[in-house]
Amino acid sequence: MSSKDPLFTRRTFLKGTAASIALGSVSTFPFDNLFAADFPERTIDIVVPTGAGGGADRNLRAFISVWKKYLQTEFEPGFFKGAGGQVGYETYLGKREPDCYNLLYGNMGPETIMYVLQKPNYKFPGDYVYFNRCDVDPSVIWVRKDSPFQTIEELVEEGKKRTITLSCSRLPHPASIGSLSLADATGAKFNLIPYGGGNPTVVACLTGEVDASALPMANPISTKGQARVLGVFAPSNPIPDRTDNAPAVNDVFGTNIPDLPSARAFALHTEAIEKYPERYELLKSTMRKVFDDPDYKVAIEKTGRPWEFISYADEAECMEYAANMMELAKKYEPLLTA
Amino acid sequence: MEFTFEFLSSLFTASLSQWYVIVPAIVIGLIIGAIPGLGPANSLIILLPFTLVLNVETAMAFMVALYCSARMGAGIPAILVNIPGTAGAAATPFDGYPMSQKGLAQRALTLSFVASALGGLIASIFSIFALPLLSRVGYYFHSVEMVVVMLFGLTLIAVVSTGNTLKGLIAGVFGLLVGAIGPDHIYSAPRATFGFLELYDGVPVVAALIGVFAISEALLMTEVKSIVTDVGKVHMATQTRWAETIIGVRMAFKRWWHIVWTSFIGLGVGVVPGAGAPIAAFVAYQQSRLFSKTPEKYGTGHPEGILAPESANNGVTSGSLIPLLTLGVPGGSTAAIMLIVIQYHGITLGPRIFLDRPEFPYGVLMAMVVTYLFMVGTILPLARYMSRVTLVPTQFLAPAIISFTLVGAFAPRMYMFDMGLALVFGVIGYIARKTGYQVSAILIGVILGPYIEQYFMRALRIAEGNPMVLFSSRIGNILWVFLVLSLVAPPLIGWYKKRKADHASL
Amino acid sequence: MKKDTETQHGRANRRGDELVLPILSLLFAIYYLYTIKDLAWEAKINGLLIGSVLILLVLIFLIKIGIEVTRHQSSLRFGELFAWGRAQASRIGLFGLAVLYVLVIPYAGYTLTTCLFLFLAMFVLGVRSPVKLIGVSLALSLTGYYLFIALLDTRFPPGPVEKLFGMLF
Repeated sequence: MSSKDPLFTRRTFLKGTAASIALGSVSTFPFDNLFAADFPERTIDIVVPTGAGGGADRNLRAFISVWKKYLQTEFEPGFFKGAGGQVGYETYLGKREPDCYNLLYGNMGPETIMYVLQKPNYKFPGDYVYFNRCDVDPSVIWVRKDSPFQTIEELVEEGKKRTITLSCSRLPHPASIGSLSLADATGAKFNLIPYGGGNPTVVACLTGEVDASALPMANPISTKGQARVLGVFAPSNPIPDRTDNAPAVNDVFGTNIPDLPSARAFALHTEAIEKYPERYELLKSTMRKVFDDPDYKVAIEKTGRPWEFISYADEAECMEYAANMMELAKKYEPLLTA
Repeated sequence: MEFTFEFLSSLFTASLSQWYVIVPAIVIGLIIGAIPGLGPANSLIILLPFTLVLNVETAMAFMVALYCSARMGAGIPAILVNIPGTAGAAATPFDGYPMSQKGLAQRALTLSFVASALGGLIASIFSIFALPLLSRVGYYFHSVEMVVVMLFGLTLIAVVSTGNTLKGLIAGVFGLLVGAIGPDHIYSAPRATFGFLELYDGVPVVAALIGVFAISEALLMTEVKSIVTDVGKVHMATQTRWAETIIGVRMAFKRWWHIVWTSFIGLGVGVVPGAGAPIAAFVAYQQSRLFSKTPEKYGTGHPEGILAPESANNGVTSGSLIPLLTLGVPGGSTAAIMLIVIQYHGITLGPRIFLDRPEFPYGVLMAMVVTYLFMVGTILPLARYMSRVTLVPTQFLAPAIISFTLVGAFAPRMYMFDMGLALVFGVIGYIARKTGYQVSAILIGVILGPYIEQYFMRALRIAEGNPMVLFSSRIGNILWVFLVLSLVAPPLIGWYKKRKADHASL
Repeated sequence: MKKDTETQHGRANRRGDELVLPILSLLFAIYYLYTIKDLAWEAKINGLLIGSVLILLVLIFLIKIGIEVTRHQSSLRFGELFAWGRAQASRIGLFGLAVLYVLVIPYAGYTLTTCLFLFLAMFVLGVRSPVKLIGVSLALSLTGYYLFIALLDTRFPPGPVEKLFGMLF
């Protein structure tokens, strides 16, 4: 991340607009701009359906710090947390113009599960499209370093004798579904306690209020040596050296639990794509360039997130992932809703 | 790590050398703290472009100074015009505003400034020496213990309702139910949102605070020409310029022990992740009144009634940074913003930092010590000038309050809806005030309700629905005993004293 | 703010005002309980407990008032809350302007709406000096613009003044 231009606000909007106009004439990307003549001519607003200061905030800031080199405009994230993301999505779809100046940066996993369980006032697939996946973060079960449980087998064994308490960010979450699937398959009893966000979920596990925790892998890694990852809900562990060689849960128990990653992605109104296909193309092509930029790797590493999690996927792959997650949510609906 | 005098003095010198960011941050913090709705977390997000380009020590000194002074700033409108700048100062008007009405605003502000600075200073110095110990508090205060801590704060509903307990209880429980609007803490199912998406995350405390306190106050102001009584005006006119400040400083220092122990309440509450200044302020006020020899004076403009909440809500500042510095996990929203800056500079917090780079966590706390030292000199002289606000005729004051605070209602979430909501709460607050229901009881319910539900539901879920979990922890049980004693002892003592007096008179 | 609730010399107390908040609370509690009726027990236990206690407290209060009324110690007539007077007229004017303020801001922007609101609100509250009316409303709204929009970046929908300042600076 360039230290001179980390992020911008409305205050810089006017200056930014002037700068964009000036820079437009000497653009380093003449072909991109050819198709979207005057786009973007103002700040791009990004709705984030979680709170400021969380993981989404940090990752988004890292992304836009590099993206602005290619799209040559300013970005303004707005945080609209509430009801598992529903507030952010309804704000985006109901109150933001479908003009490609308004994007959404969400977590496809929990938020498509939320869609199935909470039945909000919009239609998916239909009203919006996920089109640029930024990262894939596998769900894990982890404990604090000095926990009596050293392996996932020990935890499950104990779970057959008594109920194991697990902190989770919220019930409609891939990591929660993974834990419930594991309990289902092994006969262990897991009691999920939602803490409403990554940070409090981590604290609950580190301070011993619960036995273990179910979260995306980036969370225990961020505790720098205070956590022990026991098992991963993925075909394999992407960073075994930083997670005590934690095995894939399916390998240990011979189960068939689906791959359950969190995956952050940008989304756009379907109507905006239909109305402004050239703008959509420009957004996609400039975003794609971020992933190959060495500055992006530097920016991501500064956030403490492993570079191995960064993984681009296009619209088709994103929508396939979302569809799979919706299927899973339907399967576990009775356990996850009030 | 060698914890030597040299180590501490080098940290102190390093922090002093950051004066050029600390002093402006104090000024900014005081202003944003004093405007309802513009809390330190919002302001730090706006200022991220600035803090990210500074070196990390300077950035932390700036953010810490802004955070601490915003806490102090929030007490200013609470005292002058009965409008707390943030929920953390919601207990300050109980005694601060009655003092202003008596023409004692300058004294009240001085009491608040000294208590804030001294309370914050004591808590931050203690934190430096007891950091390893304090980092363990979170391991013992879980949901069960926090339910009982919350109940201490909740008993304030009964305290502020003296005179008409039934009406006070109706107001408080109504506040609790309003606080329970929004998602439940297990399934996130929305409850009683009237179909408004803007209420899906619960009632925004700032809009409630502004409505119940500020808008209703402005509506009441139409009945009087000035918020200061005629006697108060005479007092203000006859006092020499600095006399009230000097009296205030003397009063505060005379009650130094009060400031010390209430700052520890703040520190203790602050250390527990998720808890914060409003809880600390309410609990400190309740405890202060409980141990007072003159509890009947609370609510009428009693000095301890200002010292306790202000010392406690500044004691919170160092406490709230402890989960961040020791675990690397922010305990609240302001700390979360600080973490962005810290991570941006590639610093990894957590236990290892005390081996690799101890000067960073201790340096942050030392910056806080220096901030509080600077703060006294910066703000104390201003009490005299600020107190003049109370003399502004209400025909100017009321419109200004409405326009400024409605912006405050809008600022935290940027929803137009929140301005309308503040007006609705304004009407509720106005009706309550006019008909003898305590608005502070409503607000205690609205602020503490969501916290208590969150801890209560977690405790219940961990115990798979068994309510006896509330009595399952040793620390929790000790707190229960204290809670029961604090409820039962005052009437018993009162009854005993009366009986003794009756016997004596026979 | 305490009100005298005792009967004075046999004259009935007007208790109508005091019933407004309990009745509102009662309606809200009933609505709250209605919205949670189909939820799982963990999602409704808190609301059920608080709502029931609120209903109980309000009923006790109503019974208490009812007894007073039957004993002719109190009446259900409204008092000061709905009384007409100069202060009440100013209050209604001020509140009406505040409602208009919130409704107009999205269209006219912060600065212009604030300036107009302050001008009219001060007029309603009895300020008649044109210098004070114009001076104070201009000074406060421009301070507000500088503080909230230029400095603190509060994102109000921009109106003509914001757009003009945007072009100038």
